[in-house]
Amino acid sequence: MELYNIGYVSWWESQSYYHALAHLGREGVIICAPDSAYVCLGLHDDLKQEVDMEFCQARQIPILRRETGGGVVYLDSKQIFYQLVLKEDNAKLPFRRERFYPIFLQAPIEVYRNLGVPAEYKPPADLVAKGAKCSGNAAGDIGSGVAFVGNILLDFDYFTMSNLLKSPNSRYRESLGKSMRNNMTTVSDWSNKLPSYDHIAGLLADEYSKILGPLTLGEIDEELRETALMFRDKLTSPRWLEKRGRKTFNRLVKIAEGLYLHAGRTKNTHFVALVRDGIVEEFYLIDSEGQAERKKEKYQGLPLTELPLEANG
Amino acid sequence: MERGLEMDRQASNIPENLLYDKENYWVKIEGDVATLGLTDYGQNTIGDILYIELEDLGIPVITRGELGSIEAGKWVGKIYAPLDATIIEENEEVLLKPRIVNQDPYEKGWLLRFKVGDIEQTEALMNSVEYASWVAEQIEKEKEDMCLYE
Repeated sequence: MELYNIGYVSWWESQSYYHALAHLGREGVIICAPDSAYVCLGLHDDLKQEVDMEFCQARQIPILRRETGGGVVYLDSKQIFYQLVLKEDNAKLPFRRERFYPIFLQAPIEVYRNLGVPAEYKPPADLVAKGAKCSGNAAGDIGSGVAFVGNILLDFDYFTMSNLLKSPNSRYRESLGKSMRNNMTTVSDWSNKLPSYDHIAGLLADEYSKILGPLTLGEIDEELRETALMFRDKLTSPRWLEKRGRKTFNRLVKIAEGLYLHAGRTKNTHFVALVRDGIVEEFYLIDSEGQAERKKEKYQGLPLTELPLEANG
Repeated sequence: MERGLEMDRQASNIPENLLYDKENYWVKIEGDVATLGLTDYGQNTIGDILYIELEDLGIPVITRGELGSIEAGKWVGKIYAPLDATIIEENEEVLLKPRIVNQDPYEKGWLLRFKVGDIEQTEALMNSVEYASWVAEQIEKEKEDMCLYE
């Protein structure tokens, strides 16, 4: 199999090459990092529901929609991507695709551990270190290929991420930033000096060769470049970005596996709730402007479905 | 339910009056209109379905062209046309509540109806006996996967 260690590339290239490989029915491992920041929507995310477009426009943060699943992510040069594309009939690919995640994620787990981060696999597709998420991963069928993608977080811009997601009120935005900070971790939390791209790319290449067999260095050829350009146009086109997506009754952001920040209405006012595995960890009542707020300790520890909320019927 | 027993149940839950493809979709032909849905085995291999997106009505799609996509857990798969097709109706209920497909794949969980482009293409689909045999083969492969990956 070929290894495309393409270094820092433009934001759209950091997504387009794996789409191109899969579309062409070719296999390979891509290691890369974007040289600038962007927002990446999952295939079924609803742009207007999920993203604060004014914030992105003001900061000139471009937006792309990938063909793999999962939610909105903020990606920048402090993240190093590993992307594996297999043909759909590859014998290494288990019949139930999700079973491949622990195999695919063994490489970043070893890389994180090498960097001093005690990463572990958390099904179905997260990596965690001491309970905090350190990597999100996604997968999907593209053409006749299957793509698995994820990233090593050297550092993470919690401020920008919590501001670019659509928030119904200021309490929600504040809770978003805080809960991400409390439930995510990056290499920068475990080391004073960040490793270089080359160091991490070398480790990833070594680990993937243990899983996939010998990797030969590949270069972006004309076919791949042309197809990637086609995907750039598709994945960033207004029609593709604005296509209808998954709507939720209440505002809902997934922070990590099993952890969600909800916003919605009670019978008389509004609420913001941080919910882990269905159980309320924090609950705030707020007025319609999102200004005055009251923390309701009595709801902590209760299942969200037992609270008197509009969404609960 | 133990996974082996669950697999056996799915292998036997294959209605006789339908046609099937290797993507685990069933097709019910009525004149030049077909109804499409995911089989019981298919819905189980995908897992809890979170979202279904279907292509717009009225646009012709060739065999193996994309009729939509399904998201489940950390996976997005495509819905491929088993025949040349033009979607004429979508099951709005499953678009709102996709888990209906998991609960009742052959009745309430149908996905869409399409106008068949070329009825002779149905010859390439499997009948219930052929599909049952194919599912049995897949289940054997899955059992091998379970030894390899668990």
